[in-house]
Amino acid sequence: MNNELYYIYCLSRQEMRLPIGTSQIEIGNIWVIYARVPHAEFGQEALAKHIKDLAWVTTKAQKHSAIVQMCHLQTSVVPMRFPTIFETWESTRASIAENKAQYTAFLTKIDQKNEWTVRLYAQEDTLKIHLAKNIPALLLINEQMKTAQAGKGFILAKQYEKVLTEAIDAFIAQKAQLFIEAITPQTTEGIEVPLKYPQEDLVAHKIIAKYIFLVDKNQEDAFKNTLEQFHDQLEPQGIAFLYSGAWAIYNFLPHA
Amino acid sequence: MLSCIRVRGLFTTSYPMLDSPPPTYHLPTLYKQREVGLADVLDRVLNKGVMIQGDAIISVADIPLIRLNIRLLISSESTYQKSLLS
Repeated sequence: MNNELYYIYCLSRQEMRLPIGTSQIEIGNIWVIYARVPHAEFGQEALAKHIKDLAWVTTKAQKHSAIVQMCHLQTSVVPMRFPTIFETWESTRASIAENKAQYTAFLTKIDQKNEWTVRLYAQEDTLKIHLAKNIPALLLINEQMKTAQAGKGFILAKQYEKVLTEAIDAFIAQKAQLFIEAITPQTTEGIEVPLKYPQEDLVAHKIIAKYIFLVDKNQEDAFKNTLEQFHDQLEPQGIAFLYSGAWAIYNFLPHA
Repeated sequence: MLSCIRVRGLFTTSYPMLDSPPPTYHLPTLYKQREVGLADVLDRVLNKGVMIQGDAIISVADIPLIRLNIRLLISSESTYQKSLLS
């Protein structure tokens, strides 16, 4: 059994300045950025144990991400999923060579592009205040409630809540649609991501949509300007935009 | 190597390249910035990227378990803080 394994971070088409602790080698015009890691930590049995340790996974995943990002800042890379480990150099070389055509196609597709994550958040109290002032039906019910008797007032209050809930949903859907129409010309591809993690909610801000975009570097200023404009316009009305990037391309690669 | 960003009047900070994901903009609180940044890192690194078939001795067959644990991780401030310190 080898004492060391080969941990692959990413692939590129050119030699690069390496992050500390990594090496690179060329396999048929594909540069492999890798590190030798101890079998005791990354072997099958050890990994099966470590993978249940959240602190370990988080630390290693952050390191993996950081190294890929450093490489991505220099040139386009194909990021490997964590953890991609080979037992021998021969098996590493064989796997890379076998999929070389696919990697080359990936690298051509993503050349001069970055990935951006955009989240839309609703601030419900602000939305309610904005819509209460601007939806005629709500203004009318509100007026009626001022002079209504207790029973009628209860019914009107229920009606108000129903109309308000529908108005919030319609407002969010309309603004999200406008955003997508405005941002599409500045992007190469886009994905709407299912909201898997309720924990992505922020304090008093509920996540309402999440998108990932592939953006050409020469379109990034326009892309960010559009985001800023939407945020500036809609944040006072209760919809905030939070975006992160520029990421290496993880979400637009077919899996080898 | 450091890169600096400005987050629209909230604060200015530096990002050590090997410790931080790309910057996140429009942030209600610093703590939540870290949390969202961590979610972005884990979702990409564990669930995306190229998965080599064949001779890789570690498959990603445990991904459902990882996903489940990520949810717990992200929802747990104490665990998250521990992971930052480890």
